[in-house]
Amino acid sequence: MTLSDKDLIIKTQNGDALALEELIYRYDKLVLRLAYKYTGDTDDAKDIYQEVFIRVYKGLSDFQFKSEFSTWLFRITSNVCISFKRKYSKPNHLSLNDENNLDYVSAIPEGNELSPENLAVNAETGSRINKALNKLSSNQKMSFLLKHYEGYKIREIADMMNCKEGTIKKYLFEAVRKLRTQLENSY
Amino acid sequence: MKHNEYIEMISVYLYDELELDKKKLFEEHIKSCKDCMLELESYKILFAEISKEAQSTIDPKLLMEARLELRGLLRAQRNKVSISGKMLESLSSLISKPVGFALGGLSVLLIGVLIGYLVFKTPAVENTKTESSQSDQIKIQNINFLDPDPSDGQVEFTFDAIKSGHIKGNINDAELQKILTYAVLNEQNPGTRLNSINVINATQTQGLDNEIKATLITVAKFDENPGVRREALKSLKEIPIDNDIKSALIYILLNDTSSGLRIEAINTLVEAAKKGFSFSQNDLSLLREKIQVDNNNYVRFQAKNIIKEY
Repeated sequence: MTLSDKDLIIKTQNGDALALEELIYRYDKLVLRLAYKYTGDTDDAKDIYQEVFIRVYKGLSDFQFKSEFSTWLFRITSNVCISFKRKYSKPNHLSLNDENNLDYVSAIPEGNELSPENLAVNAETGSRINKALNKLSSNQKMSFLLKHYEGYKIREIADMMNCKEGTIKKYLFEAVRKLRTQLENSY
Repeated sequence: MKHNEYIEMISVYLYDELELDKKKLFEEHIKSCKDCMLELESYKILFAEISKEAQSTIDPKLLMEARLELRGLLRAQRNKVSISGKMLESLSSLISKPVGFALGGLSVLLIGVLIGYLVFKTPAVENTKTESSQSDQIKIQNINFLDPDPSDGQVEFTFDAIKSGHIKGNINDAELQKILTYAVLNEQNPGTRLNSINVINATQTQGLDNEIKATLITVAKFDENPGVRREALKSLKEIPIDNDIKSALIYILLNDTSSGLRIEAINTLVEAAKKGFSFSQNDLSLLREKIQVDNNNYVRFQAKNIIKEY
């Protein structure tokens, strides 16, 4: 039987290392993907991933179930992403020419078979969106990723980012407006 | 309401998160406003494009790298304890309440002595640790200063407080197995992880506990040491295959850099196929992919054999 997040947290609080691992593995793909989408760099994404889960590990003993674990986790993730400082100077975008980056996030939806032509089109679309995302401010980008990639409600995003719903609506409106302009210009 | 305000509502409308009254107003407005209607259609196209991109998945190799690094960091974190918390906690667990206050005072004194020695760099630190560990059975080591400046009357450091344990008992004892399971995942020494797996393996005569099975799967997939991964995989081979084990075997087949381990994994899958274990279409398509890309002839040959069975 699958244990709930709450059960796993209680077991973790009682020192069960396996429960912590199961809890982490339940969400870590989402955190890593969000971090990668946010930074566009695999090393930076891994740094954010480590920082997020070390904070989770340290904070879990005091977790009092006032919010869902996932809300708390993504609050930490958005804080770490937004405050993340690049340690090294790297290109701030994904490039189609950068084979390493294309290796790491596949543009193929799971279970779908794509022809080489469609694959190329999808990779190109993904690259354009990634480039456009990097033109957004930190808060706009994080709101946008949490909404469009993780599917959270505006109210939940406001909770995660510790601001009002109206503010998130503004971030999203600006993000979508800028993305549209960027994508139109890139055709 | 002004026209621009309706424009600002479009994305929230498409998220289906407009309040009911605003939603009605918006729907009434777009019936008569061509600009807003065009804008809405344009947003729909944009959102569809973004939605396709949002389905992308993270590469399993990147995820594995991140998980291995995290495991090392968590292992290091577990070994760190705060001076005020763990020292008193460990001491209080050793002593009974009537003498607790007296020994509590003694522990504070010991901390003071320890700080004094460390701050003033006495050459006899090693002796002090040994004596302390002998008297209260806690070894203090790996002291790491966070704030070594004594000028404000305070210092801060972390250290490992290790209480020795000794256990002798039946290999099927739950407590003993719990310690071994923890060791398999967290011990730094690969030899110890290997020995722990061997003992766990010897205990499994009455079927495998789910927690232990999950541990073996994790280790077979992610342990940094190929010898430890191999031993965990051998243990899994002794258990009747189920979907969890099958997924782990396919993961190893697709991701492990050791051809020996990939061969172990594919052989186990072939055996399962011969015994009638069913594979999903997704499994088979992953195996077909493997036939194309694996650099080991035997792995490719065996992957073909499984597909032939279907």
